[in-house]
Amino acid sequence: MLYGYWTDVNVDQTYWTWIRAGSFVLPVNLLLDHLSLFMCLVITGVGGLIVTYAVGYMEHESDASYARFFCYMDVFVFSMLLLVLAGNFVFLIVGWALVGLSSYLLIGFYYWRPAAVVAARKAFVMNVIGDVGMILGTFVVFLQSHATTYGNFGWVPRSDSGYLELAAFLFLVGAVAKSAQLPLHTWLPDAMEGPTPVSALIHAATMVTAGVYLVGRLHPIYDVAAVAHHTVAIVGAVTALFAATIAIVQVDIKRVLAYSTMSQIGYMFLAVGMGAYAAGFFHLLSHAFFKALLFMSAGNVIHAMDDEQDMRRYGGLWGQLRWTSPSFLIGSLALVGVFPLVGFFSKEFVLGAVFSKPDDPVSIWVWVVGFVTAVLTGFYTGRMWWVAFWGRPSETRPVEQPHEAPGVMLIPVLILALLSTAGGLVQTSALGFGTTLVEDYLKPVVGALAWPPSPIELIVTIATFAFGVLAFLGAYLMYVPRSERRAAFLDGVAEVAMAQPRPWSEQFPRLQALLEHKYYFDELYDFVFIRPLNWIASWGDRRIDRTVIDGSLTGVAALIEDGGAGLGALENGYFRSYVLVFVGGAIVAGLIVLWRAFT
Amino acid sequence: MLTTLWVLPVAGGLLIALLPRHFAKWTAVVVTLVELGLAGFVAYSFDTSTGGYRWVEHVQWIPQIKVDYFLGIDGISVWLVVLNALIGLIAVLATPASPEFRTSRFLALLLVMQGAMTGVFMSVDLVLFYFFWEAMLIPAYFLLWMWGEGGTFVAGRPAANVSRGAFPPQEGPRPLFASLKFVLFTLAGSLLMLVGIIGEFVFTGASSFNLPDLAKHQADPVIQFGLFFLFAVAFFVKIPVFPFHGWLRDAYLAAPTPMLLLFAGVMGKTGAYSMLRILVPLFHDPTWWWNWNGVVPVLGVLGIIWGALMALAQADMKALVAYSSLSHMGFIVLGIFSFNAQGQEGAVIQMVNHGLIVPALFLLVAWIQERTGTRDRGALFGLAPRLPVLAGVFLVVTLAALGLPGLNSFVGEFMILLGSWAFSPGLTAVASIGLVLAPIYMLRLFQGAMYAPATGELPHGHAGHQEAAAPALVDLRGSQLLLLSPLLALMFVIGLYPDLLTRVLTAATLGLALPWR
Repeated sequence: MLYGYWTDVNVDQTYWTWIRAGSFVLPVNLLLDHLSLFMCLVITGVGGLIVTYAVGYMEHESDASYARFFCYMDVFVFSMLLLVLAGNFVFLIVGWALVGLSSYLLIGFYYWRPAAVVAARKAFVMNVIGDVGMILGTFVVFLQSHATTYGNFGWVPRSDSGYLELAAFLFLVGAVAKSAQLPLHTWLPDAMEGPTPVSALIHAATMVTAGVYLVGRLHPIYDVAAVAHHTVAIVGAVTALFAATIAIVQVDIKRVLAYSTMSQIGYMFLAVGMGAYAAGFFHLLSHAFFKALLFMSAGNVIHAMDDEQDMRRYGGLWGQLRWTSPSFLIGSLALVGVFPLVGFFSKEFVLGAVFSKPDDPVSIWVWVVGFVTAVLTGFYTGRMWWVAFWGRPSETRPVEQPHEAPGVMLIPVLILALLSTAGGLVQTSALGFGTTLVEDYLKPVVGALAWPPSPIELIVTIATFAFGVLAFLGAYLMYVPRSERRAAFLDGVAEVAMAQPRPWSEQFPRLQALLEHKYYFDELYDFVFIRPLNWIASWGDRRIDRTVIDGSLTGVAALIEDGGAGLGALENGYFRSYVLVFVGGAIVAGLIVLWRAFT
Repeated sequence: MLTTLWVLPVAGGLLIALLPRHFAKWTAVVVTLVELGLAGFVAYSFDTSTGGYRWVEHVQWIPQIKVDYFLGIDGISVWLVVLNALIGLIAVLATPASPEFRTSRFLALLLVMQGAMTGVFMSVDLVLFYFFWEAMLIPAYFLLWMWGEGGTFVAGRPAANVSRGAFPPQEGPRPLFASLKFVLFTLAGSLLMLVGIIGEFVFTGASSFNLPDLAKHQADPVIQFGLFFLFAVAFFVKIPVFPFHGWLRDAYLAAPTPMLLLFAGVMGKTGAYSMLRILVPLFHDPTWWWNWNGVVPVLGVLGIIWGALMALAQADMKALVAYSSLSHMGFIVLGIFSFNAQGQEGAVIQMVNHGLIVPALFLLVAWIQERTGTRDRGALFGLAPRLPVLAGVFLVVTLAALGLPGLNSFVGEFMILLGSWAFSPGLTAVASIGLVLAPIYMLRLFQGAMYAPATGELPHGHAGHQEAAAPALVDLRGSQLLLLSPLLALMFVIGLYPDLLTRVLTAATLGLALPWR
């Protein structure tokens, strides 16, 4: 597969005809180009590490569950590869739905837990909404352009039109549902009910980034459909900020990571939405590294803590988990975007490209949101790190002396830690010089960045970086009690370092409540959709189906019953009358036809 | 050949009625196997190069009124004949062989019903069609009444409530009421159709009852308006189409499982098939105050939504599947009345799909009831660890039913919606809500029975001690798995290679696609 790195690969192979119906003829074809290869490398590379890790993580399961787990994981990898390799819309949808299915199966893996069962169903239904969007989008494309396969997108018209916008919006519904962007995001945090390797692979590194892949794959459509394209960026920006604010108040370590994933995918969306495709995909790669690292380290911690996920009950893990703690720190710093970790290069590439985009009224606002989100990212990551790993062990910590994870769970983590540290070297364009491997590699598919960097881009980059780091350190002051600080850690700035600001949550209790309830989206959907649906269903069943529709019949039947009883024996009465009517009708009919035939 | 296809089950049925009951089941199996073999042969040897009818048998029947014995098979009917044969075999195999069940009489009626349905799918002459159409009703009536839940021949149940007390009985199973309701309702439709058949002959000036011939003679739009109504009501009831589904809940709930396979799996299809065969080609323009061709798809969409909503409300798993069937049939109607090749091919594919999925679902529900003694969704939970094989099979069928891409139902729904999108995007957008509701009710069904209840954890620990406090249940037996395996296999085959069906369909359906508007 790496072969493709040096040559321009573009293989479109057709296997058999899937269906033919009039002018709709659909081949089963797979497309291998640099974009699908890039995605394949992420899926198999990170996926391989995570599955290896899972060998250790799932060891305590029963044999049947163990087998079931790896079966589902393989179904997932197959489906995800199908998704990125499909050469036509229908098999894109097939892959799209099958990753949803494997996600459903794996979220509900612990099917004896009610929460897991409900979360799985929620994820499935939300994803089906996305599937329907994709299906309708395919219809629009076919009926207007008669295209069923990508075919290098020669069929996309040059100028914007209503139908192209409609198609782009419908595909965006699919992307938004799969990538847990607003407003179809509520399934992702609940999806953390699945085993941690699943969260790492499906709900961080690969499946949830499929929306970014979709926009990149269909970029000829989005490049023309300007309104839909801007919507992608706006949805991404809003979700990035929205999720980051929620992440600040979450106490379950996996849920913090889940909201952080939403937020980071928001960055990818705003990048591809602004037309900076290479930046979006580089952030996808980088995020796959550091978020998988974070989830797997968190999995090690959760194992060590006897399945406790509330990070307020951890504390003081630094030094006790000799390998996991530094790995988690590397992942956290990469998430914050600290130089020279991979997150720095990818996030700054995204924000720099957006900042520099000329002649676009939206870009500067998107950048502002991205910048604010970067600061918030520093803050919630810092909170997570300081609360879980720093200070003294919590009084309610389930395990006094935690054990480090076994080798099979550590080695993949360490490899990802290495990749998160040095991976940024493949694309250093955020600094204005150095390598541009990712950009060059994807150029044949998504093209080069259409605008030069702004002269002050580097200053902006440094500012973003600095504010992110300050927020990370600020969280230290707010969340580590003064009594637990190790003075030696920050000798030089003792005055500042010993400050203890009042927690913001005490100053703004209403804001705290709003964030803790995740802006009440679950409650809203429950109130607007789920309750009315159930109510209409049961009301319709009682009041309409059983009375109006059924009753009309019952009334007729009872009427004939009365007549039938008069005719004779009950059982035969109906049948006899039936035959009577039948024969009588037939005679009348025959007479009429005879009359018609002889006149 | 075609005569053999419908005579064989009927003759087999009569033979079984005469034979000692020990031979009944095996005779029936042999008959249906041969039937399936013949149907398979017809499908296999089907010439895809041209359109039109194959294996035609055309002789004069009642020359005085120009009625012919005219059988033929084309790309549409061939798949329904095969489906009928397959489901017939499975239904026979699923029939319990016990003296108190009166197996031989049951199978005799079942085979006669199968033969009549085969006839419906093969008739080209409208009067012959009507003959078969009525003929399938009679065995259905007795099967529903005598063997229905709480019926005369059902072991361990009182044969009460036949003539005592209030009518209809308000509580408990009511097979007589159900069968009566079904038959009367259907019969009302049939009689209207009979009037329609005569009217069609009188008003079009055609010289025969042959469908291709009648299609060439279009009556005045106002006459068509009336005739369309007469035919449509019969088909609406049979399919059933919203709001003509009043018989559905009682009949499906009462129906004994083996009969239900043919009843729900195939008989509903006769209505949909007839729409495609009769309503669409015979009435190009049924317009007076409004155009029926525009009304029917709206009813289809209403059925999709209403069926899904009612499925959400059902506690009884059998009723849930019955209403899901109403929703799926709505898709088929929508596809037929989208008047283009995509929609109509999708409709035919979906007829086959539905004929595979619904029998599988009803079988699974029956087997769950057999093991646990209930099919109340609220009373069941946590069966997955106790019945792992059944849970796995159930999952596949559930996914097929909710239209998972890659499995068969997706193909049909995709093509139908593609066709109807060309016809009316707004209507299609509403119909696609059905696609979102389907996973909600199907997963409620599957998860409710198989996984943890909403109110507490299952006794299932971390280290695999799966032996729960509940008594052990017998998992799916090998024979039962074998019974389902052709259905499961076809769900995958049609999902991945629907061209197997469509390459035969293309020539046939295109002839029916009419430019409306």
